[in-house]
Amino acid sequence: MTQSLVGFRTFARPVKPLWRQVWEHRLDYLFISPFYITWILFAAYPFIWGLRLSFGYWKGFGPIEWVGLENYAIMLKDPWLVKCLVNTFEFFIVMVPISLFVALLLAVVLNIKNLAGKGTFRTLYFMPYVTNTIMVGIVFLQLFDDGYGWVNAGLKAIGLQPVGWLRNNIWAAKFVVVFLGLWQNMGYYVLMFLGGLQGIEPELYEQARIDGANSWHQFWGLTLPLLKPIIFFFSVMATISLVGAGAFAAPYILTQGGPEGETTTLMLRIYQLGIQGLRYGDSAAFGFMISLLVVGIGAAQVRLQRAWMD
Amino acid sequence: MTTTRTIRRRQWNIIIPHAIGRLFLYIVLLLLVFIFIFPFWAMFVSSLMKDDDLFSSKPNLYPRYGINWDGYVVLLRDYQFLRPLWNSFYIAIVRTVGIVFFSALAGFAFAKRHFPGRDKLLWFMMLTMMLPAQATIIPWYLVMVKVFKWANTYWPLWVPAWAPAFGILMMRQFTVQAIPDEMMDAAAIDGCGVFMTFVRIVVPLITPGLAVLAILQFITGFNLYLEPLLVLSSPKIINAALMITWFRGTQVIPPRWSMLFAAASLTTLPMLIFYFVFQKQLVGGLLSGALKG
Repeated sequence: MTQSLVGFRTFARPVKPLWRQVWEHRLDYLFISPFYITWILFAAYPFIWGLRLSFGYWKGFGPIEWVGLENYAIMLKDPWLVKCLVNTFEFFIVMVPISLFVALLLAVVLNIKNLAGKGTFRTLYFMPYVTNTIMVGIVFLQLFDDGYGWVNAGLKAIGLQPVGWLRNNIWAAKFVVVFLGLWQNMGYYVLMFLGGLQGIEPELYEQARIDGANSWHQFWGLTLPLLKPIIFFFSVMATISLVGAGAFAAPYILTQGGPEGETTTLMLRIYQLGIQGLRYGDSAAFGFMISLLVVGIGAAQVRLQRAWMD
Repeated sequence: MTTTRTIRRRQWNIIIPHAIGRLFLYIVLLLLVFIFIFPFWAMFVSSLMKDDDLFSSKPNLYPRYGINWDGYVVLLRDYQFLRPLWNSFYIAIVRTVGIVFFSALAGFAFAKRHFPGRDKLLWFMMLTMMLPAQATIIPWYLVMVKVFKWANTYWPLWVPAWAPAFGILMMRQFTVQAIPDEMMDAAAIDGCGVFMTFVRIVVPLITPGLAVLAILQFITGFNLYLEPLLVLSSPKIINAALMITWFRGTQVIPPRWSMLFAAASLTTLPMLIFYFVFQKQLVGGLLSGALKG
């Protein structure tokens, strides 16, 4: 082969075999292994197990009886499925845009350079994030009580009709559940956006101002495009938490899914089926519906993001 | 004289709308403060009122008829609430320590080490974040209880949470930002082993990141609800949130509201103190934009 005249090799060093490279980096693999081990044991394994369960009937002990697609057939005929899907979707379609919009707006406001007390506002807005949903739920139960609640008392004081918040009016009940979620998480979202805003070089704004852009143009032309990655990350995370565990504790403590099941989310239904009803197979099938849904939404978001980024 | 007057007049054109704008802004911001703070006030004062005062036709926005500690007394003496409260702390502490340790290690490896398949493994990890683990919560519960036989232990709340993709990505981001590659090379030349490099060089430099992750995970761990609800049932080991829903759900005892509010206050107060103590680290870390991932 091409040995050069001076006597040393000009071609690349022979590549070490892969197993050799892997062995040399065994410590690195050890460092990253906890994630993969826990993922296989506590996510992938239950997933496969649940998949088998969703095609079966199980009393909680002994072998799983194979029933084919029966669970899925029952689930598709169940009026609860559509109801829970619609409820979860309503929460999703209301909460994600509102929290996105309000948090972004607040972040922009709290990023104004000479706004006095912005650090204090930031601190106070974050406070609800440290609370426990169940504990705040207790407080909301009392605040939004039909007869003695402070919110209704406030409405009466300014001459409005009291509202049957949690037990009688489906839209009011939905509102309280959504409001609890917004109340708790808004501060966290604001901080996330503030982090993004502070990463933007001030010189860019200086330049825009010299070019004659007013603050409205600066927001649309500069701030928003630069925040795209965070907005995207945020919306994916919000979707996952909303369709998943985020949509459990609030309706569970506030309404138990009522009135008329109109605040029952998919997560709450899974719990009612699986734990309270001991219908493991059905609830597993239900869970896979959610998985499909979330993966679908996630894929749509990724596609949207690609289109939007260009 | 005339020139200064025109200048001043021109400035007023700007200053007055600006001042009105600011005033409006502050009104909105203060209104939001009220919304965010008021439930805390309601929680604390309600815990100090008798049920009759709490549910009166005219709301008592403060304990008008004297402070009443009955809720706290019943809660702490008859129901031994300190135990579930401590359990909440215990769950959160062990969970957080594991998460911070394993996330920092993996984050370091992904950020600064070059091993075969690294990018593919990282990509796979990000992909798993898109799957909602909660959707398979019933199979998860059955595996925990029937396969691993972990019912009524804290293992299901700890071990599966110890190496979260979210934490690893966050630590990777912090490590990339905080440590230049030259420093890694220098450590290697000095003969510093991989683990020693991690302990001596990486950990001290990413402490702000570790603090953020620890604070956020401590809050989450303390407030866990769904998982404890599934796997914990023995009165000795339930956490605070679970005990509250027991009070509400079972109706074994008359729902004494001042007691529920006392429980809520006792659970919230330590977290508020925790937040105000570590507020600077948390906000500083989050504002450095490391969550972008």
